[in-house]
Amino acid sequence: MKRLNTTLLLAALLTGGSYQAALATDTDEVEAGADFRYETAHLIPVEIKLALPNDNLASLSFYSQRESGLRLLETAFTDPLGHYLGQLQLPVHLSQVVVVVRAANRQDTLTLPISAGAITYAE
Amino acid sequence: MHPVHKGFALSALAGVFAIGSAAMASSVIPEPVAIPWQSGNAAFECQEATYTTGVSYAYSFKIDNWNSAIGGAYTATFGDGHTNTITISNNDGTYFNWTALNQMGVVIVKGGKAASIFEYERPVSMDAGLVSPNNASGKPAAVSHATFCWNANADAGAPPPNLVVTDSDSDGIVDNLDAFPLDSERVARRFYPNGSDYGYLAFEDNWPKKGDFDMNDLVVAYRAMETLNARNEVTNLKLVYEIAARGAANDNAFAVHLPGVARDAINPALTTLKIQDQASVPLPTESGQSEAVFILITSVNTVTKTGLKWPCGFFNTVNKCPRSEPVLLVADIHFQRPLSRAQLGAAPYNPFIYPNRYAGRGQEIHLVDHPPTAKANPSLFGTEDDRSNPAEGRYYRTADNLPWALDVPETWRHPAEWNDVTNAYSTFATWTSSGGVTAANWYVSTVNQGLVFQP
Repeated sequence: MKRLNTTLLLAALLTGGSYQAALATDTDEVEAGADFRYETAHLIPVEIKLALPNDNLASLSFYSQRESGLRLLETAFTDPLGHYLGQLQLPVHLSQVVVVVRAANRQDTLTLPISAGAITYAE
Repeated sequence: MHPVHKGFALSALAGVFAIGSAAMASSVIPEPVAIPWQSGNAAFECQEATYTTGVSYAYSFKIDNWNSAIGGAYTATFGDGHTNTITISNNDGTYFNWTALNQMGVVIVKGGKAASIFEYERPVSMDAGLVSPNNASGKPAAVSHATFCWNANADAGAPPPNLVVTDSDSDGIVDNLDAFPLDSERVARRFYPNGSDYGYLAFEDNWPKKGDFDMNDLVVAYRAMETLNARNEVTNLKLVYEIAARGAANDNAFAVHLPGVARDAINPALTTLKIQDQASVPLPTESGQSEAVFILITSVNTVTKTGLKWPCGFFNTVNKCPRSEPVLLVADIHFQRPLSRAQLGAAPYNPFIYPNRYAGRGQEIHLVDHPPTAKANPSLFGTEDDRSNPAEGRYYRTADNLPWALDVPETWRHPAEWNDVTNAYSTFATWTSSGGVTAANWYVSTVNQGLVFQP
């Protein structure tokens, strides 16, 4: 038992030593500025204007595009004039979204880039 | 080699344009919406699917007790004389194909605690590669059952059968576009990071002292589902969490704060918490707070106990140890009145941990610059390695601006025990030193597989 305790103590000392060394080496690589908030998402303004006849609103299903397929972000609605103004919360690494438009007389898919910090589309 | 649903859907869609076939598959959602799922009989499940797809179905059929031996033809007959024959093929217990004489509107594939909802923009007579949702390990769960929903005599060449301009609940959204056509207070949903995947919250628990930066003292997968009314306001918020890993010996509590949302804005009669397969229980707001704070787990160690000796007493952080199933938590939060996005804030809101020990409640640990709750102990700010400055809105930073918590909006493999996140993800340091301008996808690129936990 005494021998076991000595072994454990030695292991703990060694582990602690290597942990401190690792901490000093690895975290020293991180040079974050005082304004950096480690944010991985942002709110992107979205404005979409569709040409919809007969004063029918449309649903807009927003997706992120991944290698393995589309991922639904949210569904929103235009006003009866086909105008949508809103925001999407997106992971910062995304560069585009896919929008499925559904209305009484249409269903189609738009691929819209994030440009200048916003998503815009007009017909 | 499993068939891949996306590939099939794309090739099938191409077929529609090429030959004008009315029977080819073309999903509205090429990858299914995966959501936590309450199982029931076929009619119940098709009604539940209606809330996601916005289309109602007259007929339903469920194949239960799914296993790799399921296959062949199933004929469903109904009291009004309607019949349909569904044939299952290429089923290995995880993936399968189907054909049907009467076209389908939606197919629900249940596995684990969730279901994939395969919705077709036009009813279809066949599809392939159907699969249940991935669990937190990133692999699809074995199928437990499949439910088929349809309307009679669907004609893919005509407009969808439910495309009628009616608004049953008079909320301004016509039924075929309304995810909740019989509920005037709900019309759609918003997800984060999306409807199928999880984001990850990773905590170091040694605050106000610096930790070892392996960011795995607590790792929680999360998905936020906001239900919206026709005014784009949030009526209720469902937070789905999976405790994916615990690399801490210290016992911690896990909680979430909704900054700016008053405690009395919560509807206590409808707000519940479900842990694993246990029945839902009321989820109260924490007393002594003016804003809404929910203590989701008071003892992470209790729910993640492995029963194994060190180092396998850790939960999914040591590669040589057995894997444990993540612990599911579902908080269903209802508001007294709908909230705007500005009022509610953005996912993941303000998650935090604190030590589950005497006088530990004040030792909250949050994401960088996320505010503490009223129960945090302000005398701890600025002590040890912490350089928070409440007067400037700076919280949970070291002198070098290192964090104690990270939010990763993607499926993520946390560092294995004792491996620094800067080594596990070689562009993490680049991301931080650039102020987030470069290597914004550090969590999906340049992962050092040898240093992360392998599920």
